Amino acid sequence: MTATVRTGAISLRGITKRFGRQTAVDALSLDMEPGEFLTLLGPSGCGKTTTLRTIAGLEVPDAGSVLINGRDVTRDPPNMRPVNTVFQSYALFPHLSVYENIAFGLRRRKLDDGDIEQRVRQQIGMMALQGYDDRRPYQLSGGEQQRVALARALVLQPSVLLLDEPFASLDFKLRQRLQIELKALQRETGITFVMVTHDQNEALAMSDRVAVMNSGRVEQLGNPIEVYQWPTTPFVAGFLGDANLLSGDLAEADGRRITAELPGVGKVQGASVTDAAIGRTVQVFVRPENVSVTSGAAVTTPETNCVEGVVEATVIVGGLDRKVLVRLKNKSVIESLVRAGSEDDVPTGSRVSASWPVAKTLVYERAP
Amino acid sequence: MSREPTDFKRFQPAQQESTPKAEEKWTAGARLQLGLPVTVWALALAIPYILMLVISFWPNDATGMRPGLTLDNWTTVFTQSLYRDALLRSLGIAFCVTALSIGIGYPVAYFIATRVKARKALIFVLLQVPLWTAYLIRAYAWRVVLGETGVIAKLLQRIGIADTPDWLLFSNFAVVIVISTMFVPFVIATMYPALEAIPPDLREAAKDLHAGRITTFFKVTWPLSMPAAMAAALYTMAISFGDFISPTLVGGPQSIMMTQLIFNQVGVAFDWPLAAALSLTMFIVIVPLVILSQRTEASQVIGLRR
Repeated sequence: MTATVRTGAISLRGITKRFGRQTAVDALSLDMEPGEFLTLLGPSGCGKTTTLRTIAGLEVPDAGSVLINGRDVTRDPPNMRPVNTVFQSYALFPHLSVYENIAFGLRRRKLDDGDIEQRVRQQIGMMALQGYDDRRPYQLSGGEQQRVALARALVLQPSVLLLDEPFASLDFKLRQRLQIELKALQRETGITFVMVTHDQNEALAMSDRVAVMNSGRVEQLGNPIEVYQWPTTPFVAGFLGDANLLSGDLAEADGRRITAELPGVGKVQGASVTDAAIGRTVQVFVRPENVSVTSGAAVTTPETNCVEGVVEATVIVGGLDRKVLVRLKNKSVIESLVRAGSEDDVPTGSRVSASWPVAKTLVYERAP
Repeated sequence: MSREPTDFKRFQPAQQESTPKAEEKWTAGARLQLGLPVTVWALALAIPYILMLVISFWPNDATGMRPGLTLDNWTTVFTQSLYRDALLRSLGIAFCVTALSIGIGYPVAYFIATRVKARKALIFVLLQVPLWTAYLIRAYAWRVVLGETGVIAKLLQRIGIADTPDWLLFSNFAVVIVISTMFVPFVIATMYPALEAIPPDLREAAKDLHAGRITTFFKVTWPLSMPAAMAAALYTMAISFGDFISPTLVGGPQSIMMTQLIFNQVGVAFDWPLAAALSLTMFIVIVPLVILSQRTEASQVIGLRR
């Protein structure tokens, strides 16, 4: 299955979709590269599934257009698009066997039985579903059902595969393993994968690019590391992983470098994300894993931010990783992630200083 | 291009999901609670049928019936063309009623389940309103509608299709129409929940897998609704086979059904042994249908389990 021609480019141009008074997708534009794994990530109700359904042809947008491989397919029904979908529920046909579920799309293409058999067999082999031919979907486990759903779509060799929360109904361990397999499958086939999920870890683990969505718009688009380290909005910062967001006032601006005054705590510095004017309310962002907590007084250097506080609690957050919560003088709390193996132990109630690199700090203008 | 296939085999769960059927334990109280009504019910059903079976072998003459053993009644049922024709006609009419009721009821239920977005429940209830009027009264009403001066006759005369539409009333046609009005709401009531229970994403998946609208219907919706449709059809068939009101009120001399002949033997000719033989004949014809419908209902439950 060598993809000689790189197909699978999708272009969404100004897509708007309303349901009654609700705007599910709001003038969304997004380009997907051939062969990439792109994830639409966002909380429920952010319009990610509607966006996916628009690509599939299951929703017709109120405005805007959908281009697949450069062709406008906005008005084409789902069966006329070079796109197949893995549904969240898998939507396997309960009255058909595994074999017939996989053969369903090929039969619609009026291929002769020999060709169908050959391609279904190949797909069954690829997904390790041998011996399941005559089973009905309800006789399969969740993981098996997902493989049938994948096989049923991939056997048609689509340019684009759409996945709507494909791991939602699987247990944690199986989910982690299947994520790796699905990513490998995507690399092998060279098919453009567009996945919808609300699980940030899933998005970061699997995607070439992540589009973080909120209220029907794309808030940030980029590769997972970039989006995680340099979130461009407080929403993205908060949705993707844990984030400290401290309120303050903009005190000084020197090019991209901003000094913010945290009331009652002191000054911290960071990179500006917006062009905020002096005196405006800002939010200072730093990831908990970049914050270290030590006993003793604060020592601020040009490259390090440092604030004082009292350890309020230490909680275990998986394995031996701990999270230390430090209450600052202005009552706000800053979290520090302490990795397993670290000897630094700060007892609850002790006076400490929390410090982090200026280079890992971002300053957002707070929405009025 | 050769490549290593994705190793999904590692993730094949070793054992089949098994659902051990819990052993049901019956206490003496539960046995009595369930056993008593079941016994009473079974006896109440069985005794009349046993009596009928016995009486159907009794001789009957001008003086009335008396205990004995004769095959005369059964011979009459199967040799006299009156009874044979009535049996076949009853089956034919029941078949037409079934076809018409499913033919109208299924598309209506399908439309409400898949196309109607708002006020589904209201529309569904409105379609059941005809059932709130007694069957007898509706049958009488149809005499007016189908009569010589009725709306339909007038309409047919006006557009010049038929001058004197004598097939409208007191005919097999009238019987089929009137019984069908009874069963169309019934078919809708059976089919609507069955169609509603088919997850919409199955139709979406079919379209996604390159099936057009018509193919999606015949490959997904129809097979999944088939058990319910079969159950509705068999019930309609079984019950309309034994209908008495419609052939009596809107049927003609050409549409005598079994039920009317039985009624005549019981109430007019006082030949109860023959009536018993006729009744049992109907029973024997219809029981396989009822059993079949029970079977399909059971399979429906399995078919949609996900």
